[in-house]
Amino acid sequence: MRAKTTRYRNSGYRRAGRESGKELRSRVLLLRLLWLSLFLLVVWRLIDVQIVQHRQFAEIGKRHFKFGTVIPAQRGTIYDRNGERLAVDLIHYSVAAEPPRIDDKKRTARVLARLLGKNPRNLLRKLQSTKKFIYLAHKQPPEIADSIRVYRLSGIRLEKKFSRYYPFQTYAAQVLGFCNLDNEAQAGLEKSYDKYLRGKPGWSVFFRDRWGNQYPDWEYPTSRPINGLDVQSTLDMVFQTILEDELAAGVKAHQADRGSAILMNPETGEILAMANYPGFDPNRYFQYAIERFRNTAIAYLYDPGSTFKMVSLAYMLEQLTIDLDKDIVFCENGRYRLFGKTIRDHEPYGWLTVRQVFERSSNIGVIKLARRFKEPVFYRYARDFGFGVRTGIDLPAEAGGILHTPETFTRSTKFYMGIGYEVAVTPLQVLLAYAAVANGGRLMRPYIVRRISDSQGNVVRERGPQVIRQVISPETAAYIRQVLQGVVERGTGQRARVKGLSIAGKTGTSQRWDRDRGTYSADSHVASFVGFFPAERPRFVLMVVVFNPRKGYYGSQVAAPIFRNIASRLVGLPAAQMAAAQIMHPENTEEGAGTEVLRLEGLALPTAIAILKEHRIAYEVIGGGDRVQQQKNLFSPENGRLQKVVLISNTQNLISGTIVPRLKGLTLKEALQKLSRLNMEAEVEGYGVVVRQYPPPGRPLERNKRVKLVCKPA
Amino acid sequence: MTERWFKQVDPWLLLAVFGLIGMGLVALYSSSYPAIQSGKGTNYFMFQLFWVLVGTIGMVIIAFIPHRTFFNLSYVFYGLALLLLLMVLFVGTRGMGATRWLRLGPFNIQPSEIAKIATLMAVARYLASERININQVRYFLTASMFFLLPFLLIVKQPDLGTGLVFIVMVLPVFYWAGLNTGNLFLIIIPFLTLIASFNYYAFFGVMGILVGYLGYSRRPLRVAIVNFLLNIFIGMITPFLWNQLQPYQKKRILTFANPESDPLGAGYQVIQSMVAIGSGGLTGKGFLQGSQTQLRFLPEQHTDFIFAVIGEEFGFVGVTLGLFLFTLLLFRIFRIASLVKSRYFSILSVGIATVIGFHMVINIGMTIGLLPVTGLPLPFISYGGSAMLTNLGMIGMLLNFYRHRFEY
Repeated sequence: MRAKTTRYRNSGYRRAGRESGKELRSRVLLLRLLWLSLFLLVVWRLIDVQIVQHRQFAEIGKRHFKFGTVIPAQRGTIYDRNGERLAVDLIHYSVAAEPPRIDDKKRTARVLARLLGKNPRNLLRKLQSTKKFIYLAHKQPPEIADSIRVYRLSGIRLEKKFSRYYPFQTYAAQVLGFCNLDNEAQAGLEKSYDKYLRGKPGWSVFFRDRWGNQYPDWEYPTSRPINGLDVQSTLDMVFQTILEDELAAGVKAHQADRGSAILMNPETGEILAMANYPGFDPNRYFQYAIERFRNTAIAYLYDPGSTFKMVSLAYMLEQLTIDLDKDIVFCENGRYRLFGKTIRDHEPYGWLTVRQVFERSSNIGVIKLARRFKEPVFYRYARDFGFGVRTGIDLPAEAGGILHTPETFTRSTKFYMGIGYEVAVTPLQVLLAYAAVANGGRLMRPYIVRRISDSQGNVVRERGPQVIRQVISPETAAYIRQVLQGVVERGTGQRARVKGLSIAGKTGTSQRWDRDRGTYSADSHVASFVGFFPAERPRFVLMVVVFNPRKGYYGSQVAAPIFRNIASRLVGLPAAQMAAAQIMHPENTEEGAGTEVLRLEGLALPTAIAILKEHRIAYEVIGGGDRVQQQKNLFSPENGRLQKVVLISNTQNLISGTIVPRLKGLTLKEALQKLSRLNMEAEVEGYGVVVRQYPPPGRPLERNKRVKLVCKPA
Repeated sequence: MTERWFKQVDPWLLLAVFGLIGMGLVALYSSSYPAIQSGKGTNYFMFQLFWVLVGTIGMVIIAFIPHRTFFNLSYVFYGLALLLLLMVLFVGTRGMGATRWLRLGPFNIQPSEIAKIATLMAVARYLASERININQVRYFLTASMFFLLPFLLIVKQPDLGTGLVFIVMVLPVFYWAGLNTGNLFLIIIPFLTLIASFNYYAFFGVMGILVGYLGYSRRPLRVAIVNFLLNIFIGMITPFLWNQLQPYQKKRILTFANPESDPLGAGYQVIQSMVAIGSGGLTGKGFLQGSQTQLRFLPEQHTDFIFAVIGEEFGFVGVTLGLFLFTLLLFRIFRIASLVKSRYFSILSVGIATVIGFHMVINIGMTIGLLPVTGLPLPFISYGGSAMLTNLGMIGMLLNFYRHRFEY
């Protein structure tokens, strides 16, 4: 043992004697201080990073791995009063690939090429790229997306998207408005009811790791989108198509710039149809000038001319002691000077009774009668009829018009206003004034949406008639109705006559105010006709305006025939259609009547008839199809019981699905998709882009016929 | 040997070591969580658990072998380590652009880990001898050779980070062995000159300090002139050599010094690490809740950047606890170094403390953006069999020294 110890001592195994305890302690102290300074340096840095800069780093971290996705909500559907779909959201899919995450690229390319109709080689090249994300196809219908899902392809993503589709295309386009490519409302009903229609988009937050794999975030659960509410309009698309077709024909025939027509239920203020020509196709809104989007019927200002004489008549009947048939006016044989300007009648008249003055629309006669008008009172009448203020219709971009206040009247204003000048109105304002005459003197608030409901059919908001004010007494209204009936029977409105229908109405012809020259234009006119029928118990009030007709310009020449054509087609409609236009108070709707109603839509016609027979319900069949497309339940006005069921089957009026859309210029696939939405079949020649089609766009497709498409490679 | 057990072992030392190992296992569990859940990928947690068990057994064995064995085998061990390092260069396994491993059956061993302790043992044995005065140039250079040989072999791999460990070990070990503060200063000054040589003011500042010291310490003129000329030479040659470098070489060095200049390469790792630590905040996101960790944004999270896992999931509180455990560990080792009667044990203890402390500072400094990315693991915490075995082996030696602290 001892020897070993010695060896270690010599070799320095043992601590050297020269080290004093003090020196040792100082060396330990130095090492400890060195360590502590490093320790403090690290802690100081940690405080800086983890506490002082914590927020910044946390933010950077979130940006690294978190991303939110908005799940779009489906926009609500717009229906007409009979349940026709006017605007629907179509579901389509964008197909995208994350090339690095695809396991079997060849198989994926093969499957997708077949389903998407693409070249497999090009597709494979895309899938083999080094990009992280690539779109492969857009606007794929849900069927394709379902088929893709079946294959469970790794690295292929399907993004659900919505796009607005307007099955009626140009019909009611300005009323409905349109949505842009991002499905955002831009105009019309879409815009004014956007709050309800758009719904609430959902979102989900994902984690994404370094390689792009996604995991749902446990802190932020996915929020499902809330789909938009459905909006039921007061429009009736049967009426709407009649108005549009006749208006378009009239505007074209008279080579006019444009025209508008409005059909309303005078009792309620429900707009049944509102047409503007020329229009646009909201499905392809981007191809049209902005001018086409304007809803002229509520936004275009013009001097009304003779239609405004009704206000003068109302004033006279209530404020002056006048006998329509005994008091007479000398009409100066068609020329009369007023404050240095010559007023003309369209025909020279001598002595006329007051009734005749209105029936023949003598400007000179009205002006001479207007001498007795008190300006503030006359102004009040115009104002009470709704001129100079917006009607408050639930559509955007309505114009209010211009009505001078008595203080700003010049000495000639009351005379000119008496014959419908120096006042700017919209077609809708004129319509409402005449509706007041039709319904016994009440100015109604016009509206275009009856009901807002969710997808289960629960009513969220409902709207009924709203009276703005009693403008004139029912007696006065009755007198005016008489006079207006005379206008159609004997006066300027004779061309509006429909055999077997009593119509009351008034023509209007006015020169257009030329803004550039500051005078009324001599060669540019506005021709209008406004009236209601049946005159004794009016159901419809109809306004037709044609702007700048070049072939004829009188309201009697241009607008009255259009009015007649519309009116005759309206009364020629099946009773069911007319019944639909009856007053609909919210508490008296089909559901509210308390009667159980059988739902027969979609059934084969014989089956539906059998069911109805079984229940001993009277029925009527319209159309020659084999399936019930639409069902109308008619209730007795007395006791609210179900009277009769009308089964409509494959009617040949312009209901969606029977009119061939314009397909030229579309790719074959787009065209086929479009047709399949309308339940039409196609016969295809060639491939590529559609260059010819039969029947041509706008024509109805006959039963059991296919649309012929001729295609050429683009 | 009837003393109570706590006289035989240092409980604080063991507490620190196993506290750190426990933290490491928790962090590894979190880092391997996706693999544990899915059954795919490497479950580092289980592997590390295995290495901890093996290492603990090894530690106990080492703690109980005759204490003089270390002293006797120092040089043999050192020679063996050099041989292994040489073998790495010729038959090593390549990985991550460097050859660092030797394949031994199913395991890859990392000889540079063994070389650390072997070098310390050899140097300690050399310096423990009473004949050696480290303040004499002759002995100083000889002692330095012990560090230089493994350093060169490791840098050749290349593994600059581990190589640096051998340079840094020099100072505390020599200091503990009796190096004068003045000589310590003369060793440090050339490194300062190297860094300062890119800026005139800094360079003249460092030279001013040197001249001031040489005048004050009244060193022999010969020593003063040699030192002065050496530093002047370094200061002049460094910018020249720098300009000789290719642009990519310069970039590599600059990135090493400032990772943020290369946010997509080495900088990417540091930025991700700082985001992880920074977003952890005061108390952390919670166990298994660290998004940087769980979503694999944090690179090398089971080895080099494991500290960031703790930082993210356990926050400032968690990392500070880790730092305290390291401090406790080092202070216990310093205590052992001053307690043991044997000079060999004493120097070796300080060497071990230096190795552990240096690894820790470099690793943590790297994860919090203070120091360049070098790839040094965090002792007891980072995943790695060789490192765990070596570290536990060193603890075993310390326990052994402590048991024989009263013996010469």
